[in-house]
Amino acid sequence: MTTLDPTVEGALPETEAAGRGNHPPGTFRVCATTGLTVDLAAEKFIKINAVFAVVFLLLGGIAALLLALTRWSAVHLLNAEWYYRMTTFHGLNMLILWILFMEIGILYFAATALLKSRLASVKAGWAGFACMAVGAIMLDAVILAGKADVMMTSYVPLRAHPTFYLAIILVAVGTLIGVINFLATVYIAKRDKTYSGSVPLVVFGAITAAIIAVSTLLHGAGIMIPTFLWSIDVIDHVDPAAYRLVWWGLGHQSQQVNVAAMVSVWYLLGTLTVGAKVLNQGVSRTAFLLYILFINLASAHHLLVDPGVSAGWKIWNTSYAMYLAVLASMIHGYTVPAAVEVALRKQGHTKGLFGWLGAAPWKNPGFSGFFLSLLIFGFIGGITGVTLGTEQINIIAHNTLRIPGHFHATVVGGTSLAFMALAYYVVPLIFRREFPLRWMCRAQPYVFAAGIVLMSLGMSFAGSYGVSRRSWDVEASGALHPVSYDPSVHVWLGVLGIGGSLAFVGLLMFVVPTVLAVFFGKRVEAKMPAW
Amino acid sequence: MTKEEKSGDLIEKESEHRGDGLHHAPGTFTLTLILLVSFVVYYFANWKALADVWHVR
Amino acid sequence: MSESNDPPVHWLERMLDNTWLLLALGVLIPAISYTLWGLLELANLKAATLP
Ligand code: HEM
Ligand SMILES: [Cu+2]
Repeated sequence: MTTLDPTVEGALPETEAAGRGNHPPGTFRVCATTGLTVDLAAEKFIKINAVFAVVFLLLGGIAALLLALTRWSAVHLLNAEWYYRMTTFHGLNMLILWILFMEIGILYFAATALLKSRLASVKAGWAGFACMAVGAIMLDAVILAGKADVMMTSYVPLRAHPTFYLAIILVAVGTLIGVINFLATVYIAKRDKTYSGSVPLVVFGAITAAIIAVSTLLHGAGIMIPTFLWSIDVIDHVDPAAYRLVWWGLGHQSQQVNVAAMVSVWYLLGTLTVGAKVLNQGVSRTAFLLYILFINLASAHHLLVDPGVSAGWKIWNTSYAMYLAVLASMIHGYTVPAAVEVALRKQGHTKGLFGWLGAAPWKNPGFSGFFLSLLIFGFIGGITGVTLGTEQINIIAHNTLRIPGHFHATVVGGTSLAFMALAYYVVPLIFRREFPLRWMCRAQPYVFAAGIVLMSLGMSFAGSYGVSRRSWDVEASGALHPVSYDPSVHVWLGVLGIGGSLAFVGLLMFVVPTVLAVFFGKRVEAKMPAW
Repeated sequence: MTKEEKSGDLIEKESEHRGDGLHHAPGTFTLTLILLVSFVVYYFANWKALADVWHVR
Repeated sequence: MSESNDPPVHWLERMLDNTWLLLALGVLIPAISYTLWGLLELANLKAATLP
């Protein structure tokens, strides 16, 4: 490949355009910083998906603060009704809306810019986005109207307004359209030979995420459609045990989409921030293959205390098969930092065991966010996850605060922080706007990470004493059998509250500069200013 | 990365670059050992906690 | 791209490059091991007797 260094972006002479994948002339630009070809239609979708994602992150964040201040027993802010309403609102805005809009943006980026391809279908792009956006707005409206206080899991026989189920179906269908558009783009790129050999690893990771997403969304349709019909009285019964089983095919598998997307973002940021090169293609790709084959079986860990399914089913799915997926995470957890280490050592930072780590660009939020995400995901999320997913141990942890203590380390300290780190590159490279308040951006990953780690510890310790998740009244006042906890529980709930508030500050430190940059930022002419 | 080498090219060329076979990353290796030890301690503590509340006779 | 002087491609690499095979496996394996097996067990539960 010849290296181009065009001075005027997007205005390449036709002859050069010929060497640029399958883009018709005039529909792409060449990024002056990375040299990637950016498809203009895909770029538009990346932008609107990112903007929507950040809006839902902010909404979910406001609910998060209210929840943290309610679980902090000394504050106990919300009343019971609003606590459960906000739990529903927070779970769905964060786990579904912020994450899914972000992921569709990432998929579109990977398939077009990294494969030098045009987007398979602009119409499908709009259709998918419209479904997701309309569904998302309906969803938030019906929850805030108080018609769907059923938590994000909406276990039957709890019953929400039909709009709630319809909204989730719309979001799922829109996402599925986006995923299919991504897979179709991968297909036309191969057909048009826009690349030779195998796809780059980051794209392979995105394909992994997309495949898991297809399985996820099929389960989502499989359960939400009957439940919607039940909510409008077309069918008279949805079996609660079967509901839980199929629902977790949606609820858990979507987390594995996040893992695959996050790992891809790690590889991408490793390259963008320190020029890390993948150590061994075969090893990293095989690890993604293990995700595709085995990670979804782990959904069964949500049913470890359910009476209907057998021990054989539970142990096979959560232990034997799942450890193959854990193995994959451990492979990535080694190869990603090792690639960073090798790159930094090559640049001359060879002192001692950790000289390279000290010399890493910690002031670059793209790097610090990525590396903190890796550490939090591996050390806190990974260790607690494997432990909680063990059939026998689960019995002392199920439905306690230990569970949110675990997943705020994976999907928040891990995935969400990685996506934030990515945004420090997406805004200058795709929106082509400079970040204002750069000191705030530099500090943001540390504040957010510290807050989430504190909150996660507070949740985990309170949970170890038996404090339940999703519970407004820890003391169960007025219950027949009085509950009494070790008094230190309230200290841990205080840690939860303080950590949660700090994380909220960290979240604002991300949202404010990002919004200012996108709407009022100075245009990036030519190259992006280095972090 | 050397400033001349564009990161986009790195990502694109990546699939041709198969890896060097051997690499030297003792720091990361140490990190993984710390992770392993933390896991063993945490996992054991949890089995112990289970044994404390769930007596098998 | 099948020039005869190319070295033979390893089966694992060919599998990794075959997105559609991966898609099929990624959907089928959890559908069988988790969903179908689980639903079959639930469907075959005997109704509990009233106390
Ligand atoms: C500022 C950041 C955040 C704070 C302070 C926070 C705080 C909390 C709190 C206090 C709870 C309630 C636990 C309970 O009472 O059972 C909760 C639940 C939850 N959070 Fe977060 N969170 C944050 C960010 C996120 C993000 C980014 C995600 C997802 C990407 C997320 C996903 C969830 C989920 C899925 C639940 C469970 C809801 C349920 O039980 O139905 N959180 N969070
Ligand atoms: Cu799960």
